[in-house]
Amino acid sequence: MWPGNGNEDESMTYQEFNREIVPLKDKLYRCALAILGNRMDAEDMLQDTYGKLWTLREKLDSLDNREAYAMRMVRNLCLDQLRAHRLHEDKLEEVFNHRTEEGPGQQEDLKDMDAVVKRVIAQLPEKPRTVIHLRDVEGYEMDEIAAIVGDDPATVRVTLSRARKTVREKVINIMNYGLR
Amino acid sequence: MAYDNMQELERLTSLYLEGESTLEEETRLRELLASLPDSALTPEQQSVKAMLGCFGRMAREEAPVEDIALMPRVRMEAPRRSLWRQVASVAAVAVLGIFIGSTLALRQDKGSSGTIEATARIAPTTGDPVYGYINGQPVTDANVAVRQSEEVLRSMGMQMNKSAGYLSSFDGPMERVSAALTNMK
Repeated sequence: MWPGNGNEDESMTYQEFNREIVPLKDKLYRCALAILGNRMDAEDMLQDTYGKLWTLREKLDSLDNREAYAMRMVRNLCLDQLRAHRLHEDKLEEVFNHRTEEGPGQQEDLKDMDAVVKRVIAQLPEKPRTVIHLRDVEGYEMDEIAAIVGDDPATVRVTLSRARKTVREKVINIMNYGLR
Repeated sequence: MAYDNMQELERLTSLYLEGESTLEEETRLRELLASLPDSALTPEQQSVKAMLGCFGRMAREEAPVEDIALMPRVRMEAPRRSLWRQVASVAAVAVLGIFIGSTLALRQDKGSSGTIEATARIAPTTGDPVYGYINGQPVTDANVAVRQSEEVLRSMGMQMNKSAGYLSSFDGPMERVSAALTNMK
């Protein structure tokens, strides 16, 4: 739970943290899930990230874009974990069971197509996978994505284009010829 | 579908795939694609529709946590180790066990003739040295003790080879197909 010792300055920081950083938890979780491909690892990573963000809360005060900083932190922590555990790319092929809001008649088809798209995205290398997630799922602008992944916007645009075209080609192949 | 809409759809799809579309254009593309049945779309547009639909649903996923712990956590899970490190650990434990066992069971000292003799516990009934126990019965014959030790070590070796053998099941499907074809000949 929330730490606090009644100190006025820290209380202010806590309030800012609660107002600006905690609401990012869904985005941070989805980003960790996109990189790690595993829900339990993503939950652990979310908690680790918030622990670290809280530790660095003094630094957060001086940042213009705290959200980008938090996203960059969760990505870096995920990459550290991937390196430490030497996870095989196959692990990222896990297909998630997402909730859908469509009618029951469309549910199965939508689920299948979602599974196909997720499977294809999981096969992308980490950076294109993260870039396409940040843009198409989270809706970040190019310069924000550039700040998160540490590239310039032009490079991000090229990475995004290649990732989208790769996913499109593979989805078309699967639609035509099935899973192989 | 109106001709203008078709042209707009093609333009937005092209921009999207080139990474040149704005967020507003992507929203418009999503709406256009969602409003059309798959039968009215090219395979390329169908795949983009599937992608955008999936992304939209992914964006609604929430973190499955009620509360956020801000204090750094201590991980309770055991550190993950590679297969080689696991095998090395088992081997190290086995070697250590054999070393300790042999040291305790066969305390070696040099006799008057200078040869190494094994001194073990003495069976209370017969007065013979006991080298170990099989099913609770003392083994007083050194040859039996040696054979039994060899059997145990051989059994351990087979188990370790068996574990390593399971790795072959991860070989690619082409190898399995090739093996199946070979068997059919």
